[in-house]
Amino acid sequence: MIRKELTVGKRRTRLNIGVLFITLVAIFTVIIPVHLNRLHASSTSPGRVILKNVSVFLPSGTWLENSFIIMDGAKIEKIGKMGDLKPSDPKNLEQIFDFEYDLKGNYVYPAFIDPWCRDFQAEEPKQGQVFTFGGRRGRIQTTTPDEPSEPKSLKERNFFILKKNADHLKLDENKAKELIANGFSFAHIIPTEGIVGGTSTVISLVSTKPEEAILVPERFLTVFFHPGFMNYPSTEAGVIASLQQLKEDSFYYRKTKDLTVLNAPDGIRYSPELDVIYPYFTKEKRFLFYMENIIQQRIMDIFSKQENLDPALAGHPEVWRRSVKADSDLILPLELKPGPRSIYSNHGEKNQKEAEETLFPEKIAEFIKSHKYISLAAPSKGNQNDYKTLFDNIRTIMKKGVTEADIIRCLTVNPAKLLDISKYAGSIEPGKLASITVFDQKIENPEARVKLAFVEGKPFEFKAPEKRDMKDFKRDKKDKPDKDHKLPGIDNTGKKDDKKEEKIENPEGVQNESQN
Amino acid sequence: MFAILALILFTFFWGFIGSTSAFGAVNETEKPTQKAINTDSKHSPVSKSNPAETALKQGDGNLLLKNADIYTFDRGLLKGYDLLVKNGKIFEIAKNIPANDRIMTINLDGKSLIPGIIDSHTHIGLSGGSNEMGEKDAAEIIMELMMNPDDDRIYYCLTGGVTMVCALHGSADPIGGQNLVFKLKWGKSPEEMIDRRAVRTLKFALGENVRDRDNGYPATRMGVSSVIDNDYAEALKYRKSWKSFQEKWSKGNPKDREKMVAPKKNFKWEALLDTIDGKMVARCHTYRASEALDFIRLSKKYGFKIGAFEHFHQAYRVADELKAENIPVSMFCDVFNYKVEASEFSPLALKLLYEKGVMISLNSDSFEIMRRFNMEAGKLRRYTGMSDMEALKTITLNSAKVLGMDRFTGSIEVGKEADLAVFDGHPLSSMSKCILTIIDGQIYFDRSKDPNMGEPK
Repeated sequence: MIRKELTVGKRRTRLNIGVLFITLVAIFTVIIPVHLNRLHASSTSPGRVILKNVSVFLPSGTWLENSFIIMDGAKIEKIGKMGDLKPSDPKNLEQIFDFEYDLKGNYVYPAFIDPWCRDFQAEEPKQGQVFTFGGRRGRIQTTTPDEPSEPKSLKERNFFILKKNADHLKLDENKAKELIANGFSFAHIIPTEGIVGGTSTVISLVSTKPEEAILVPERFLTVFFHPGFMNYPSTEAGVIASLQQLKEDSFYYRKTKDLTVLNAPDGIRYSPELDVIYPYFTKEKRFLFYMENIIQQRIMDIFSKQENLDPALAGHPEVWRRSVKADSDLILPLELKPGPRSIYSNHGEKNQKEAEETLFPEKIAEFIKSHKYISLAAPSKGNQNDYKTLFDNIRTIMKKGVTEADIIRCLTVNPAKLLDISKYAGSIEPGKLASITVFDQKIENPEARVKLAFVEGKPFEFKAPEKRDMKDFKRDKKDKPDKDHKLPGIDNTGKKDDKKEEKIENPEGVQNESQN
Repeated sequence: MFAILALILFTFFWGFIGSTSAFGAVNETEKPTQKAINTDSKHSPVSKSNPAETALKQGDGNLLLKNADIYTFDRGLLKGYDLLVKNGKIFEIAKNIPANDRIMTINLDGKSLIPGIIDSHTHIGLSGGSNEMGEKDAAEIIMELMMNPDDDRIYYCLTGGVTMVCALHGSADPIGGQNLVFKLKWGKSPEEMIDRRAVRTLKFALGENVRDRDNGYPATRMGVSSVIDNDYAEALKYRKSWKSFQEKWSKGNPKDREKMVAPKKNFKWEALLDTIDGKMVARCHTYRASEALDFIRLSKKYGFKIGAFEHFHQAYRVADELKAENIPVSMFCDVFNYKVEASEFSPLALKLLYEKGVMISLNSDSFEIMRRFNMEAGKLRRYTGMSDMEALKTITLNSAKVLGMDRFTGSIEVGKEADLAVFDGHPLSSMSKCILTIIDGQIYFDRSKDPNMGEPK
């Protein structure tokens, strides 16, 4: 009798345990992951998004009014007129959207690409990765891989700092938001130190993790023609001479690195960075030459013709004074003022005003119209990029005859071609990355603001800054100090510290004077 | 008492009321007239700002200058002659050349016309400093690459009548860089200003400027000499290694050739070898006679030619050797004693050099003195007793010879380029000013249209 009851009890518990086990397995393997996936999708790429009733800037340079954009995940799926939009049908999966935005009266531009960004990089390169070009007799002072050395002083590091920018990125969220608030979703990060500075990187501002943000880890090798001070090279001619010697050294190293010492007439030194430089001189990879003024532009011309190079260029506001090939890739920081050492400054206020107001805008507008592949960049203010001035200057040159289509091409298509990301960036087309910005006015309007930006499908909302009335800052009479104002340390709200009060109100010295 | 006071006050005020000649100015010639010269309205002044726009309006290289006192070296002083310029070259010097509508005519009304002044030792027109720091020898540095056409000093020198200039490397390295000769065509691009017909020169510097305070070598004159000696020896070694490689290459099989590696190309040694091959000439900055003689010894040992000695204050001590080697000297007129090295000099020493027959050319080494170069020549005339023409030669033709440009410019002769300067008085007088500067037949400075000399009002 007792045995029968016991067996019945065991079966029930086994069944209960089994059911529990199955449900637990189901929860952990099926339901929770699906749920998590949905959450994950909504925070980074919100699934399917539709923007309705917007004006879209097409790749051809025209506007498509009253249209919609469908984005799926990180890519753009479809663009069309609102009239072609089929009514929402729950059976049709294509008409199901996670987010719908009705943006009537707003303008959608493709995300701008910043071709000249000096932020987002750590200042000091890691130890052991800095190689210097010693000044004496053109030899490279290098370290063997077994003995990393400390970075040398800035004086000695003047010439040759081959820094791989992709290894030294520091992606700051606030800075990224500033770029996105101005309409930029991609940035080209340039190394800042040295003459042969290092390789530049292209990132998308979708994430602060370098492995997710980097699109092109090594795009160009940047060369700044700016000479140093008190150390070789300290003149522009010295820069050219040291670059020529660097080329000879790299070719020689390539030939001799596999030979024995006996066959190499000038010896061999272990210098792996010369190997890195070699493909740039054989035109396998590309240089980026930066010229700060017209003297550096001239020597850059001479050097690139001499070595038969086809570099990308980064210029200065007076670049129109010397002829530049119409199909050269040029990054132009849009500064409409002459620099402090320019011939157009310091020669009378009238001349400088004339240069700022008429001469420079006209010449730069003409230059942009006549050259095909110019990428506009923000002028620099100290070490930061000044985006506000960029858009002000864009409006100025639009008044001088540059069309909006030209400008947007210089901000999107041309930098995409320069940075080799044309397949997925630079215009609003199906298949490209969903990086677009929604402005509330066209950019020729000074009050245009970014309301909403998508960076690879990830949305960012921006509110207009509050308008402050200066009346708020007016002083009330109550704030003025009264004659019998109390000394600091006493709380006017009523809570008084008795000890303090005694000390301050009756100090020995003051008491005597106040009596008088 | 009162009478004495009255006398003093009277003489004091008389000086103000009376003419300026009461204070002792010597009138060698008539007073300079203030009348503006009658220039054609077709040309407009080159403004200092916005030069590229105004540079196009200097005329087309055809010019007729009427009624001037022309200082020629072969025909002497020609008073009241006309000068015709065609396509930038001097075509004719004669009396009463007929004018026509097609050529811009300027009536100079008896003013003096001299060849454009040439300065063979300056540092204008270069961007930043003209020294390559951190290297003892910078022979591969080419000053042409540092040319800054926007330098204001170019315009300031035009106002003094200077038309051509040689910009040198500084004196911080024993072996300096390759120098640059250009005409002061303000407003044009560097390619139009640079003159490649000039002799290529390499700057050498001896003495105390060259001492390397960080490393301690060179610290003495012997050290400087040994630096140059060693560098030439290395350059010859480099040449030897290339020759042996080329012999092996020519004798070897294709299989052997694959393994052969050429020596690394070194631009420094190649520049030094150019001096040995005669393609470049040395110009040496020195103050002391001892180190100059040592440099002559080095030049004979290695076979390079010396173009000139710069700032050679003790030249009078070795005048015979300089004459024997035919080495000209490029000097200041009366600037000396600014350092111990430069102390043993007197302007009268230039007379000794002149009498021995050494060719003297004046230089300024600054854009400040260059604007008053005619006065320097005047001072030289006073110290040495040479004639007007000889003194003018030191700032024009002799400098052109040092630069190797005397076939093309430096004097007023038919067939030479029209680089001219017009002064409103005797050209060597301190009272006369340059009123017109012409380069290649085009007007680059006109005082009647730009009396402020480029300064904003």
